[in-house]
Parts: sequence; C-alpha cells; structure tokens
Amino acid sequence: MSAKRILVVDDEAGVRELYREELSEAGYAVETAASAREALQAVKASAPDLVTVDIKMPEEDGISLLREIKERWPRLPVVICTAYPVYRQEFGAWASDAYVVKSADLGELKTTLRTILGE
Amino acid sequence: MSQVETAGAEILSEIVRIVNATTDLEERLRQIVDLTAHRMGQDVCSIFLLEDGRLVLRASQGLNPESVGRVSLFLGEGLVGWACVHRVPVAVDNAQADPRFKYLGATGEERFQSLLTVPILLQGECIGALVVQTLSPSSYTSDKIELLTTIASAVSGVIRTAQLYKNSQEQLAALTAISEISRALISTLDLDRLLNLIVEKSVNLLKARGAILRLLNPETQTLEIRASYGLPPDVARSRALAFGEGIAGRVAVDRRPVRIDDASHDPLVAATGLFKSILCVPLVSKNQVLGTLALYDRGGDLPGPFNERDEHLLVTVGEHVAIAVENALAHERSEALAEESQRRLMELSILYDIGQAMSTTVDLNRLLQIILTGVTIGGGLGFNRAMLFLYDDRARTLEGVLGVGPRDAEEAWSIWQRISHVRTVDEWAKTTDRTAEPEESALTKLARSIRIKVVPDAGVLARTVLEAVPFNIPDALNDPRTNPELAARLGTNAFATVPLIAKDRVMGAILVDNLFNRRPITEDDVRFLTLFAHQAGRAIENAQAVAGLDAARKSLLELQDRLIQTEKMAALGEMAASIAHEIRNPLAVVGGFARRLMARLPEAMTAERHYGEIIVKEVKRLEKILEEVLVFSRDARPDLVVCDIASLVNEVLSFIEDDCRENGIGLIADLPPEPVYTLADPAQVKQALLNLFTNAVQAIRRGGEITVHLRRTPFPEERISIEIADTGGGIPGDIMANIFNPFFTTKATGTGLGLAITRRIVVDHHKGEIEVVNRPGEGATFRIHLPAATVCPLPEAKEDAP
Repeated sequence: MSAKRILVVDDEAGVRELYREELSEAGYAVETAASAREALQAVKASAPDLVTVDIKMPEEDGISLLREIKERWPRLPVVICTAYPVYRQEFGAWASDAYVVKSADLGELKTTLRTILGE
Repeated sequence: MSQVETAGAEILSEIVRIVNATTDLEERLRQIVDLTAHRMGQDVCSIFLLEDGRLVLRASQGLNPESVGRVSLFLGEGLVGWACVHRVPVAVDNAQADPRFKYLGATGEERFQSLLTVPILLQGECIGALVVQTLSPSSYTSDKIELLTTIASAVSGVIRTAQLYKNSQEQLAALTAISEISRALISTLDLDRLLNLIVEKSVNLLKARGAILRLLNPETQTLEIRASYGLPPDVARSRALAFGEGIAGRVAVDRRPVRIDDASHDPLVAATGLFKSILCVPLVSKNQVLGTLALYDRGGDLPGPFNERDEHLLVTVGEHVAIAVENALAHERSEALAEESQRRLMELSILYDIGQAMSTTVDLNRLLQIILTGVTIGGGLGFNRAMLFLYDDRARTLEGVLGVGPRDAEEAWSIWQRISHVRTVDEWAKTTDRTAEPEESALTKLARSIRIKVVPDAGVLARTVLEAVPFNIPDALNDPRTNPELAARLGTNAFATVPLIAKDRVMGAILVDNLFNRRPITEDDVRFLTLFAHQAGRAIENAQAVAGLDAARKSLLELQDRLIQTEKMAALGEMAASIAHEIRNPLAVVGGFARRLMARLPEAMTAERHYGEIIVKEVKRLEKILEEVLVFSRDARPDLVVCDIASLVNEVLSFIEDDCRENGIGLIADLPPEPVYTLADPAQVKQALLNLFTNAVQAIRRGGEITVHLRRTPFPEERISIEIADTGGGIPGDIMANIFNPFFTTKATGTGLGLAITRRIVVDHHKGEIEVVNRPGEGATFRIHLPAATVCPLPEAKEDAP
C-alpha cells in the first residue's frame, strides 16, 4: 500500500517546511503549496488524498480555497490548520472535515489525519 | 213758639253741644240723660243700648247708679223692649198697671208712675231706647213725645260717631300695630331673631297669651317649631308636624286660617294645660307655604276666644310676616352660599399653596414630607398627625413610609409654638433645608412598622385602597370596620383615611387624626382631604415617574460605561488577537523544529538536550498565553449544546488531579450522581472552570483543600450552581474590586486574563452569574450560576456522556 499523499497549503515557508518534515516522517507523501492558486494546480496535477489549508493567506484566503476544492472535488478531505482558534465552531459551515489549531506540537494534527484517512 | 217748643229748642241746642263734644261716649250719654230729665221735668231719664240681643242699661239719671251696665232686658221684654221691637214710642200714665211692664230690680223704679220710651234708631235699625219716668202720674203730650224722639235721634248720632270713632281708633291701632310689626320685621335679617320678634309682636298686638311659629323644613317636609311665646319649654320643643297633621298641619295644607274657640281636644293645646282657644294663620309667600303662626287665648280687656276682627288682623300680620320670613330665609341661604364660597376659596388657596410647595421638588421623599406637612400644618389642612402609606400592587401590600406629627402633647405644643409664624406650606417648604434628609421621627418609625395585606377584611386602611373611598372613623373601638390592632398602634380612637389616587390608580393612602387637640374630624375635613389627596397623588406619580427616569438615566450611563469598557476591551482584544496570530505561526515553527531537534539529539548531548527542552517548554507556555488572549477576543461566540455539567466538572478535575497531588492539595468533589443537563458551550465552560481551579491551586501553593459542589437550585429561578472553594487565604481586600479586570494579575507569570475570561464565558456567553465570597485569612469561594435549560436532554447527549 503506497503512502497517502497530503497537500499542505500555507503561505509561510517555515510552516510548510516543518509540516513536510514531520508528516513525511509520519509516513505521508507530502507536497506543499504557498497559495490557493498553486494549491488548485497541485490538486489537479497530483490528486492528493488530503489537503491542509491555512485560513489567513494573501491573495485568495483558505476559506475560498476550501469552498473551491469542495465544489470541484467533493470527496477530497480538507483540514483547516490555522492560528485562529476562534473560528472552530464555524468549520462545519465551511464544510471542512476538521479544524486544527496550529501548534508546535503536531500531535493533534497527526491524530486528525489518521482518523480522516481511516488508518 | 210754645213753652214746650222753646224748652225743646233749648234742650236740643244743648244736646247738639253735647253731641259735638269730644268727651267719651259714656260721659256724653250721662250728660244727655241729666239734661233731658232736668229740662223735661222728669224724675228719671235712662238709655238702654242693644248689645248682643239684650237691652243693657247704659246711662241713667234717677235710677240706682249701681244698676248701670248691670241691668238688661230682652228685646220685647217690658215696655222698653216692646217699644224697641215695634219701633214706636210708648207712653203710659200708670206704667205698673200696664201688662207689658217689667219691673227691673236694683233700679228702684217701683216708685215711678208714668213712663215714656222711644226707640233709638240708627239707619232704620233699633239700637236701643230712651226712657223718661215720673214719680207722680203725668200724661205725655205729643210735643213731649216728639221732643224725646228728637233727643233719641241725637243719641243715635252720638252713638254712631262714637262707634265710628271707636272703629277708626281700632283700625288705627291695628294699622299701627301692623306697621310696628313691619318695622320690626325689616329691622333684622337674622332669622331666629326675626321669628322671636314675630311671636312677641303678634302676641302684643292681639293681646294673646301664647304663640307658636312653625317653619316648613323643605328637606323633611315637616313643620318645625322655630319660635314660641308663653309656652312651657317642653311644649315649645315638641316635635315637628307633618303636612295635614294637627291644626297647624291643616292650616298649612288648606292655606286658610283656622279659629277654634275650644281647642282643648288638640294634643298640643292640651299639653300646655294653659290655653283653650286658638287662632292659626298660614305664612304664604310667592305661593309657597313657609309655615304657620298660631296664637293662643285672647287676654287683655276682652279675655276669651279670638273674634273675626282678630282673625283679619292676624291674616294681615301673617302676610307681612311671610314676606319678612321669606327675605330672612333668602338672606340665610345667600349667607350660607357666601360662607360656602368663602370656604371653597380658602380651600383652593390652601391647595394652591401646597401645590406650589409640591412643585418645588421632584424628589419623592421630600415630596412626601411636603404632602404630610401640608396635611398637618395650621396654614394647611391642620390635622394633628398624618401618615402616608404607599401601595405595592404586585405584592398587594400597603406600607407606611412616612409620618408627620408630634410624638406627644408636649412636643405638639412646642411645634405649634415654633411654626406659628409660618403661615403657608410653601413658606415652610422654602425655609426648610431641602437637601437635609428628614430625621426619622417616632411617627415615621411607627408608620414604617405598619404593613398591611390589602384584602377586603383587613380593615379600613386596606378598604381605602381597595374601594378607593375615604373613611371617617369617629369611634374606632366600637367600629367593626376597623382593625383593632391598627387603632391600638396608632393610639387613637378617631381617625380618617383617604386614598391617594392618580389617573384612577390607587397609589396609597393618607391617614390623619387629631390625637392632641381631640377636634372631631368632620365630613367637610374628609372631603377637603380627599380633594388634596388627588392633588398629592398626581404629584407622587410625577415624582415616581421622574425617579424612574432618573434610574433609567443612571442605568443608561452605566450601560454606556460598560459599552465603552467593552469597546476598549474589544479593541485591545482585537489587537492582542492579531499580534497573537502573527506570533503563533512563527512560534509553531520555532517550537516544531525545536521538537525535531530534540528528537535527533543523541542522549549523550545532555546540555544541548536541556537547552532544547527549555525551548520546547517555553514555546508551550507562550502558546498557552496566546490561546488565552485569543479566547478573550470578542469573536469567541459560544456554541451552545445540551451538555452534562457534571461530566464537564469531572473532566476538569482529572485535568488538575496530578497538579494537586504533586502539591499536596486535597480535592473534594460533591457532585450529584445523575447528569446535570443544560445548554452550554462545553469547551468554554471547561475553560472557565479550569481557570478557577488553576487559581485555587496557585492560591494554596502547597497543602490545602479545594472543594467543588454542583447542584441544581430551584429558587429564585431554576439554575445550576458550581461552587469552588479553596483554603488559599482569601483575596486581599484592596484587590477584590479588580480581580475580574482583564490583564489584572498578582502572579509573576500569567496574562491576567483568567478570571476575565471566566467572567466573560459565564456572564456574557451563558447569561449566568459569578459571585465571590472572600474569607480573608481563610480562603475564597467562587460560585458560577448557569441558567438551567428548559429543554429536555436529548438521548444522544446522554449516550455521549462519558
């Protein structure tokens, strides 16, 4: 069984780097995108199993991206991964599959991914 | 001319002189009989006059003078009577031989032989007879008969003038009397004096021995005795007569005089035991019966019953009297009206005065003070004491709020002395200190101790409010309407209550009494007090409205303050949040790589691993601080779901268990065995509780106890209370006021947001309450009250509970 492929969308290079290393180590095939535009191209090109999206990004924000992905690939799970804990209660309305607050400790994120991907 | 003729002419000329003389009738008749006897050579000359069907001897020369006025004959009796009946002269030589002769004893006429008598005619009627007699027998010639007839006609003239004179004298007397009465009647408009004058003058005029004047009382339609004369007091005060009842009642109905010679069957007449006859006339003015005037028994020179002339006279008097009485009554009515309007004017000016005073304030307490002062001050309504009660229509209770009046008679005196120069309430209001809180008087204390449930059987005070009518209780002890306990506490037996009304709403009641001067409270007093209470009620309503506005203004200001504070905090929160977000990403990166570094450092590099651990730990602390700051920003709206508070408490307890054990802190949880459901945001509630527990742990530091109680309380409204008590020594008094302020902290490390967040979660997000009980030196207790959800717990929620 090949590794699950995860697309990490975040405008901050540090975050992309950290997530790539941590998630790769956890056994995922990690691809990153720095913007919504890049993300949509990557989804089209490599069809990932899951996308993590930051909310606050320049140009197009994460919520719009989430909506767009869900419109075009309704079955593709999207996890919101953000520094804003306050929007947690709205994640359902945005149709994301999970809402994780960014932290130095990636334990919560990893648990969430495992749950969604059915591992 | 014959001798007889000459003598006759001489007699006649002398008789004419006598006739025209001004001396009285008796004297002239005596002179006539003297002259006639002498000049006609007769031994006797007498005049009989017809009085009440009898011929009475009225003058005589020659007969026994004692018999004059005492001796009389019936018409037709004796020669004189025969002459009168037949209106012809009778001459007899030997009178005693004539069968018609009637001997009159006491006159001494048996000695006389011859007699000549001629009738005295007046306008064709026989009014008497002229008689001459001689001792020796003599025959009467036609000359003599003619002469005597001429003299008789002269006598007739004398009598006629005398009668005319007497009549005119009598009429003059009556007119004089009437005019005197009339003068007396217009001399006064005072009804009682007038009525007494009327009976007195009427009695004098008719020479009666008693009199009663009755006036019709229009309200009772009875004839009341208003004045009397010569009656025993008990009779003079006897009861009023109905229309048609008794003699006076009949006179009033028939409007005709009644004259009864023997009225001894009349109960009133019988009651006097003094009188027999009565003359009663109606007093009628403008076709209205005003009353009756009755006189009893004629006295004077003609004692006995009244005659027709008296009746006419009294009717005339009655007409004058009626007019005078009518005038006096009208005057009395106008006096009463003037008095009434005078009183109304005074009342209005008092109301205006108190109104002026009341308009000087909208402060309710001062207004009530002014109202009660108005009720008690001499220039106001002048009651001794007054108490004011306000009605709470939700609780249906009446509560005393204020009392004004002296404590005892001594204080009453000193107050009256002190305020005697203050004439008006407005003046009083302007001279007393309006800012000073009136000291709580004994009467106010008494008033405030009175609290009455407003139900129908709770006495007059309750009924005053319920029925919105005044009560005047002159004798509380014997009045079943009063609550005996109230009367006992007031210490008064006579009091009055009036409702305070504004726009048909009863706002309370005023109670007044005159405990010290014992002046009875009149219906007029109560009416005026009611009038005043209406004015006062409106003023109180205004004051309450103003007080309401004031309170509303205050709460608006407070709200505004809070809004400003909230705005400030929101701005601060937003700024903090944006900074936190900006920091959070790099912090996550720093922390994340520190962890990775840690994972790769070989065990041997102890120092490096130690540095790494520090980085990881500090990042963790920073992330916690950021979390708190972000939760505090206003966007953290609660996500309310049905949840079990007991299980939330348990989760938090398991969170801090380790910490407590490490620090030797005992955890005592008093939780109900069954779930406690309500609508709440579980994450936020946990956060709120965690903050309180964390504070408790930090307050205790080492060795102590934390107790948590959870219960559902049904009162005052159903809610869920969580109480967390610690033994951490309590909160220093000087910081109590600040503990809920954001960023306020006593700790070396910490955001100072813990309690602020807890409060925001409980109060703002869950509409609950938070309270602190500080026990300085012992510890602090925080209580969170959450509204109990009125929804039923969902079955899934039950299953989901751990």
